Amino acid sequence: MPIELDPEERELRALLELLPNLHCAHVVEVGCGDGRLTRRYADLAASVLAFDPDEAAVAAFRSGRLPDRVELRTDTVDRVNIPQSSADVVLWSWAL
Amino acid sequence: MVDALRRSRGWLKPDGRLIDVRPAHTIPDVVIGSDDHATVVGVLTVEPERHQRHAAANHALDDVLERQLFVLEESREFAFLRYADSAEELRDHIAQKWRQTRLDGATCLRTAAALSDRPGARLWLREPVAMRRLKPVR
Repeated sequence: MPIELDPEERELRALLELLPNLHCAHVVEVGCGDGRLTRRYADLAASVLAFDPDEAAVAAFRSGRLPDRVELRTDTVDRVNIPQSSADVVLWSWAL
Repeated sequence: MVDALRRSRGWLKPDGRLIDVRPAHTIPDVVIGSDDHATVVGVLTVEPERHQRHAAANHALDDVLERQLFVLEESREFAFLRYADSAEELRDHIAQKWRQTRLDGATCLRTAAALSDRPGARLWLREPVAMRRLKPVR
């Protein structure tokens, strides 16, 4: 059996406690990796733009079913093109 | 990191929020047992570079707060658990997925022995994680 990651969903619970209005939030996720966390909350948000500089991780994320609300990019904080004042939430996902 | 935080601040609407989620500190515990009786059998070995990276992230966060780019509104701390079927599986997972961190040979052997002494026990890695919500200051 593969390693089970946070089956108790404590991370998602903490996120929902800190973002009670996530359902109407346009989220930018920095450092989405293979989408482990993104997949857990994406269906609860209005939209998600997720990016990561790691091509292999992004490819792994893309290889599974991509949630409808997610736009996925291979990019860095320095280069990524995101309009100013467009996001309700910027989520630094284990990336800082 | 300060520049990256500053740049990401620009993406936020005036009433937006930044969430920072990452390990609260850098040395997770290796635990075996059940919900009501858990034993720490060791910790991961963490290279100095990882400690430095963690300290740099804390420093960057302190810096943007001091510069009043953000205010810290609220935070949570929780244990992020990773369950494995064997010490070797956990060791290999860490080797594949983590940087500058490993389950060393002695701890792996001790974990395997402890698991064989307690049939039915589960094995997990317990990592304290902090999640913070920051409000941009305009």
